[in-house]
Amino acid sequence: MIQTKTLKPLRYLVLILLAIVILGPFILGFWTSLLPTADIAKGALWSSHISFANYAEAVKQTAILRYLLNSFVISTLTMAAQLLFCSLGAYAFVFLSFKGRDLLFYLILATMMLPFEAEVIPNFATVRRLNLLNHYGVMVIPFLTSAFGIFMLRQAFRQIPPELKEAADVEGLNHWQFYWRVTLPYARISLFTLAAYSFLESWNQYLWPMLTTFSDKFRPVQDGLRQLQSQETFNNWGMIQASAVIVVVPTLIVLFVGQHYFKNGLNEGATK
Amino acid sequence: MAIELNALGKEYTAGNWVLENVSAHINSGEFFAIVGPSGCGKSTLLRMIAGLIPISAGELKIDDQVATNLPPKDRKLTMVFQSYALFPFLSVSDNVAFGLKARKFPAAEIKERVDRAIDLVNLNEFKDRKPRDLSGGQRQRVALARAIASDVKICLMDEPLSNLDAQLRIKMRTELRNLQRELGLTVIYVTHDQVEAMTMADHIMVLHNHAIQQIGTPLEIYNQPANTFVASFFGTPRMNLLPARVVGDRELLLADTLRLAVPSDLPVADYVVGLRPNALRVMRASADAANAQVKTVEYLGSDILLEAQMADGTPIELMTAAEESYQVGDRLTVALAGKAYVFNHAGQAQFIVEGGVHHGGNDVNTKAAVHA
Repeated sequence: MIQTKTLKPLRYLVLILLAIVILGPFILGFWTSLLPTADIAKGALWSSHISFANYAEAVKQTAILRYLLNSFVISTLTMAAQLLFCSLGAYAFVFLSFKGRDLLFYLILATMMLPFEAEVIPNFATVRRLNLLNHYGVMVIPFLTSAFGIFMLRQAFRQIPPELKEAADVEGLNHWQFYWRVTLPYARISLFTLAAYSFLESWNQYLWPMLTTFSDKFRPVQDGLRQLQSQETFNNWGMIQASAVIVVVPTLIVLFVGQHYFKNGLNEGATK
Repeated sequence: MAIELNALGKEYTAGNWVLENVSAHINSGEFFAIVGPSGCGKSTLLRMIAGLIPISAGELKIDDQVATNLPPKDRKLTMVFQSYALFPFLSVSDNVAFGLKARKFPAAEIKERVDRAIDLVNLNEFKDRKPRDLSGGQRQRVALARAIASDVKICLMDEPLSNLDAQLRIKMRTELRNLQRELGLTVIYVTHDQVEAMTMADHIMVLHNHAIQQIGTPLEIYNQPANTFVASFFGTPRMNLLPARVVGDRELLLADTLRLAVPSDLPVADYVVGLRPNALRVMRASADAANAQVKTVEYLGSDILLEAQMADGTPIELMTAAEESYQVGDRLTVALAGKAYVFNHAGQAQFIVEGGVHHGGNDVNTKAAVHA
């Protein structure tokens, strides 16, 4: 007991230090987005002209709003598709029995070991054949499902007590009804987690959209940010920083909203 | 809603029978208990009746219709699980309404049935709670309410009380039995607890070693056990099973110590004689007259349970009045004073010798207390 008492402030000290290390760049980034570019160029951290002028400029001069819309459409579609297809796949791996079920699952699992970069060339060739280049589809279709999502939801579905399936069988629920009315609500925490994960994953995509989109009409935010930098010979750092903050905001919203649902113990009471 | 099991069997792998030749007739409105030690296949049998596990052999009839291969929902039954199987994300009333909604009852009827079922199990004030906010006993009631809310008259129960603490279990036993009578349900009740079966059931099926050992009323099972397994499984404390051999005319020698007169000549063979602890009379004895010695003493309140060792080393359990006091190591004279059940060497019941007949010839009246 004595040990934990002396350890507690120590623990908090470490946590605070780590928080500073992690949050420092964010705070600095936000702060510089409020400074005029001229001052940033001088390396100053303080200025007499602190304002949101950079934000107004970013919105007026660049296609940042369009990038946001693109990313929002792409991420939402990807998230919805992954939730649907991963949960259906996971359901099959848990509640249906068919020949080669486990083998198939391990095969899917094995694809997780393949880095995305290794799939870029064949995927690129495929989407070009499908005439999907420079289109929302090119950023959604290759990511309709994910091995990680199937794996994660399979683990979640396996936690469902077999008695619930039996009770549902006695009541005459078919697989679709059981999937919709029991499996999904039971595993909702995992579904929220996967939703947040796949949304952020899609939001933060950089390499793939850079290769497959050529116009601001479809370009998502991360590539849009890069675009701001190279378009002009003189980099308007204040504006770029403001854009970066704008881009981060939806990510933070997803995390904060998501966090509310990541509570444990919601499924207590199903079985003794 | 009578149920008929006709030589039901289950094999998971070819030739490996988990259950064999299970036949029984369960009357409408009957409380039928399936009892056996863990692993005897009683839950498997229940799930075969429910349709959750396919039947490998034999025929199942529900209400005079063959149901052997019907899907569970068409068998018109409900099920209560040991673990309750409540939906954690639904409120109490939604849990109770679950089956009715799945069967597409009209909303007004669902509400009426749910309200009545919740009322019957006294959960009115908890209607809107989630299962996680309920105690074990309350969850168990929700599971019951779910079963009785539906209009079907057959309810299968898989050890529904075994997760409750002892006090609550005894209370729920009575409630369950009353509810079953009130609603006229046909209940098939699986339990490993012989006391539960004895106190609740109209008929008991004893399962052991993949097969039926005996079917009968609780009294029949207790008073006329078909074999040594049933004899030792029912009754607390357990029946003593003593090895016996034929000595002289119409007499058996138990554990090389006690003599039991039998009514007719017996073929010379090994026998097993079952004696309930209350069918044995215990007296303190001097060293030379003693035929047993106390090994442990357990106070049960109104009685004392003695574990003793017969002269030949056979362990034996004895009951005596709490007023007497015994110490470990005390020497005793044990005499027959009640029913003796004679089984053959394979454990099958042969006959029962009534009243304490022992070699001294002095008949002793025994209290016919049934320790259920």
